[in-house]
Amino acid sequence: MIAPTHISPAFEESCGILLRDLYAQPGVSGTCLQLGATILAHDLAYADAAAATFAAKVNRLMASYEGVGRGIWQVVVGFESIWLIILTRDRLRLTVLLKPGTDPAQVATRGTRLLLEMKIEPDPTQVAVQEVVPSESPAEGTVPREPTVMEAIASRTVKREDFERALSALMGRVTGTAQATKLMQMEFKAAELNGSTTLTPEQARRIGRSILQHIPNRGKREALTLEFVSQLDL
Amino acid sequence: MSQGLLSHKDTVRIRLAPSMDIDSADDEVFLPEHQEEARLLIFESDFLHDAVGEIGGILRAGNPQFVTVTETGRQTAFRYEENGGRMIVLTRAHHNITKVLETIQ
Repeated sequence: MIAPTHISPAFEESCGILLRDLYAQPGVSGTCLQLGATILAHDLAYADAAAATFAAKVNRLMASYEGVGRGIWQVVVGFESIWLIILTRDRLRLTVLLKPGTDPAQVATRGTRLLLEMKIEPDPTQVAVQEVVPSESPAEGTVPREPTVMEAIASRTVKREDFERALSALMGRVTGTAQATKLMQMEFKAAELNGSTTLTPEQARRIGRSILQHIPNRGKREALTLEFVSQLDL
Repeated sequence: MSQGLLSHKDTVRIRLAPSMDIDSADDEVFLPEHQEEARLLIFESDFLHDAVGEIGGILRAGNPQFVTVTETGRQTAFRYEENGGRMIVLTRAHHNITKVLETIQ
């Protein structure tokens, strides 16, 4: 699925400057700049499909923190063969790949400064970039798999019974099935959605969060909310 | 966030055994009023391990060894050991990576 997102030439130029500046830093082996899950520019040594999946995972990770109100601005991940610095501001994500052992301080400083200078100025008359969606689409000749409930929610609509089943699985970790069902009935009634068979993402988010608020233990409540938000990519 | 475990100390440590039980931790972690936050940190270590593990799989970068999360008022560092054990270090200050790696050894 390809959805156009429009950016101004000035913004596009800024992206180029950003990447060139970062690439000049010692130890940098790749960069990826994205708005949400949409790649604005990247020079990763991976196929576009893999880069798109990468961007989607990065966005989901950062969004899961933002969704519970945590003001994250930097995540550093050390793997055996590569280190990642992920910087974020609003929905802009900048990921820099480094050779292990490289001091990321200077790169982080430059990346943060440049990220702060970036301006998101949507301009429908200007250059369009493609929103690259996760490469979980099947290869040719294979049978497409059914989308999960959470993917269905993310794709803008979901059957109520599927949503209830998914939320019950989450609630089932902290309460009985009957109690979870009762809570959902109460929330659907309060939202005047008793007759609805499908939900919009906003309705799913609102009702899901309302139901999770009934979990008395704060730690479990926050943990399940984090998981809920992460799964829905809200 | 700094009103909880970090309200009395600048640095709080939790070491988890491969079984995910707390192997050792600072005294604050065991106080009743901080146990929810401690449990949330342990959950976060799991969540992050899975999330960055997926990213590492895409990049073919191997297993995650450490993750630091820097946010308003605190920095959390997670170290993932080969045997499954984990170290979680919560600090009020934002340290550079060199310092963080020293801290979570």
